[in-house]
Amino acid sequence: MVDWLNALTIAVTGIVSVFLVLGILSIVVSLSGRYFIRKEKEQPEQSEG
Amino acid sequence: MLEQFLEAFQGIGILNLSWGNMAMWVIAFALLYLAIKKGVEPLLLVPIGFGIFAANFPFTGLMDEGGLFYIFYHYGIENELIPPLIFLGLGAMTDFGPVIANPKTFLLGAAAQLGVYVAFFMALLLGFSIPEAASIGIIGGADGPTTIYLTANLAPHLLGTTAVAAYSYMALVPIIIPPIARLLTTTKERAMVMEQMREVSKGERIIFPILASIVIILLVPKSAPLITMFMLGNLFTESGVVERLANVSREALINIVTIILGVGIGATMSAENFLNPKTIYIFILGVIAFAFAVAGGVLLAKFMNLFIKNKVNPLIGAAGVSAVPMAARVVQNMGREANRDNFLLMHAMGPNVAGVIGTAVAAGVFLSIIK
Repeated sequence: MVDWLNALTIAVTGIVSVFLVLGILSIVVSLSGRYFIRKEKEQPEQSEG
Repeated sequence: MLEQFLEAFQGIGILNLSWGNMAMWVIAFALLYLAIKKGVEPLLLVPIGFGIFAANFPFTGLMDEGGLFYIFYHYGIENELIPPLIFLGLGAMTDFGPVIANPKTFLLGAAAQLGVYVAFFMALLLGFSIPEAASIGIIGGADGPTTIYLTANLAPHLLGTTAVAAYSYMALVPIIIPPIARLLTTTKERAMVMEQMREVSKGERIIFPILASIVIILLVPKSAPLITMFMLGNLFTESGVVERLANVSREALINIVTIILGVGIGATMSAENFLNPKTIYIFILGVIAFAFAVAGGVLLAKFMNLFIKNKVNPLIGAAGVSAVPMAARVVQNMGREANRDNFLLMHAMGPNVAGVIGTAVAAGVFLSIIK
């Protein structure tokens, strides 16, 4: 006999975790990307200055 | 003396060959045929096929405690060593550039895990236990090593079946993706050209495996064996300072462990483990899992387009099923069918590698709750 409540908990936890992990990763990578782009833009300006 | 002769005679293999052994040989030959003649995942199906063939000879002791194949299975697979080592090699081969350039495609890799949970529930309805259902559901992630890793932990008696199903369906990605992706998209959507991706700097590539490890492992610690090795392999490649380690990870090491993995899995496929109705159910559930995974990725891409400025071609969501890089190539071909100037390959590589991470996370969650 399947414990459906347990199964549902497992599935909901799984779906939420997958989206949470990849969502946070997406935000973190996006922020680090912005930082690197800004740094790249600043470098030529500094060498010109 | 007569007794000894009779004993030796009774120990002859041919007299003890069962119908079950011979049926497993037919399956082994079918897999070898698919691998050798049709090119279906030959790197895995040749060792698996031969492993099934060899393990189904009577009285070899190959799978008895201390036997050669038992050692492969026990120390390599049951002890969780080989799948993480394969992830090391995969990490060294993976280019995270597309997903770093377009981080929202991480979400498409997450959506493609829908198939895992649909198949999980369907397996429960068919009478499988929760650990078995999780091992079957993960086939929908289209990631062989993760499927093996989870099944070895939760339902080792299903290992051979889930592994063969996962690798077979990965090879069938060009047949599974197109009808579902066509059904869920219009020709106009498939023809959509995406904005050129930005160049990703070396610094970003080096920092990515460290950032990803922090985020993923802190949230789902049980995914650590797969994720740490995946990210370490990638760091080997991207750092550019340990070329020897990167080379050995993506070439010699992955090849060696693939042989042991394939033979070890094949050896678990005895007649009593494989020849039962559950095997047929697992293969049916596997294809359902794949289909829902494709649908999940495509539908989320369409949903995302309602809110974002730089729209994505919904086809790239289908690449979230992992199966790197075949799923991305299928997406590229479908995009070009709709518009000859459409080049989606690199865009599709984003959800493709995100799907690998998503499946490892899904496996980690299953492990942390069920085991």
